[in-house]
Amino acid sequence: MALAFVKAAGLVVLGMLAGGVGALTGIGGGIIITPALTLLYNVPIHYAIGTSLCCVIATSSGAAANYIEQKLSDIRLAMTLELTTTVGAVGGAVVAGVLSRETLAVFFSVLLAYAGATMVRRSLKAGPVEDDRAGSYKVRHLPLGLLGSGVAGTISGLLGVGGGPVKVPIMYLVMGVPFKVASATSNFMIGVTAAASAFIYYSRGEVRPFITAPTAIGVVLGAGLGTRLMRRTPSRWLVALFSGIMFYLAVVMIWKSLHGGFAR
Amino acid sequence: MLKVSEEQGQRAIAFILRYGSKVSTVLMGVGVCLLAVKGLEPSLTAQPGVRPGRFLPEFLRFDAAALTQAGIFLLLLTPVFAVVAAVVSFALERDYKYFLISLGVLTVVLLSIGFAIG
Repeated sequence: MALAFVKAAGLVVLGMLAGGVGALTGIGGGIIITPALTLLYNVPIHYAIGTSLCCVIATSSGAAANYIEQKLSDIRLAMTLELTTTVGAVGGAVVAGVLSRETLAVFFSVLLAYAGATMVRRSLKAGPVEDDRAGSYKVRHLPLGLLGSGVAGTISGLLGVGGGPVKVPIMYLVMGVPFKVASATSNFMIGVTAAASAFIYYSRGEVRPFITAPTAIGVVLGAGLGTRLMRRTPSRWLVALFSGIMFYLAVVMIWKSLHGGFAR
Repeated sequence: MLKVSEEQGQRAIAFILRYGSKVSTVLMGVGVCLLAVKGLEPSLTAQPGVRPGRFLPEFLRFDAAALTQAGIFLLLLTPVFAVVAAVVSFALERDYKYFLISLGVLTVVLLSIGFAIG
């Protein structure tokens, strides 16, 4: 029983870390859980993705409730973008068997690195202080945002992630949404996107309760801490953290593509 | 017809998200703790067998596996309930543009769930 407790406690800690970072940056944290479960716990990748999607929902639900009350999440913008994201996610799941995941991962990595570099460059430039409330800005380039969200959904359906690393830069860099609002809105969106894919994994028996339950409990606790920290953390620090994670993910994905690390 | 403000609608969505994740976490937590109390040591990848027809009686008996499964299932449904709340609140706000948009999102999500179940 002791070993089972140690393993479960380790999963709770992993979930807290992923939930905290995910809620703080809007990426959901699922993308941290999949590699951690496969590398540290030797969990088969399909079970890891199933757990990861549930944890994306847990981060999203816990954090989004707070952000909506703080008026940081833009529900109207989220619903508009979610229209193409969910269609993209279903489309992604359908074409998953046709495209090579390795090829897609390389494109995804290049996109992550480019978006990360652009965000760092922007954050280094001195600019006006952002008004971080939903509705305090004018959304620009909506058609481009819808297209980008569709791509984010497709990637989500293909790779089993929430799509936050694509949604946040699109809202922040392309649509002129303040970073904190983009991050908070993404937090709400990723739960809806992940739910659609997670049911497919659940129906295939790839959501294993003894992995998912402790990890998701940790995620809920971590997401609560992350949302409290977000209000007190300067946007520039959040951008730096987010960009750092994107560069790390880009390197990991290219490495996995070259070494055949993506299981079918 | 009842009319609600934007703030009331958003409060309803936040309520569903907050309590959906909290209740599901409690169910999963109680399930895992009961397993430990009973001295069971399942492997991480074990799939507890709760037959669909026996799910409710097992749940009411505080069966550890049934409680854990119920927690996970409620977690998966929480964002879907939030979208339902958005559809209803936009309808009650008489914001028909966003009512149709969120209805479209709900339709895609339900089709995806139907595909998974079917």
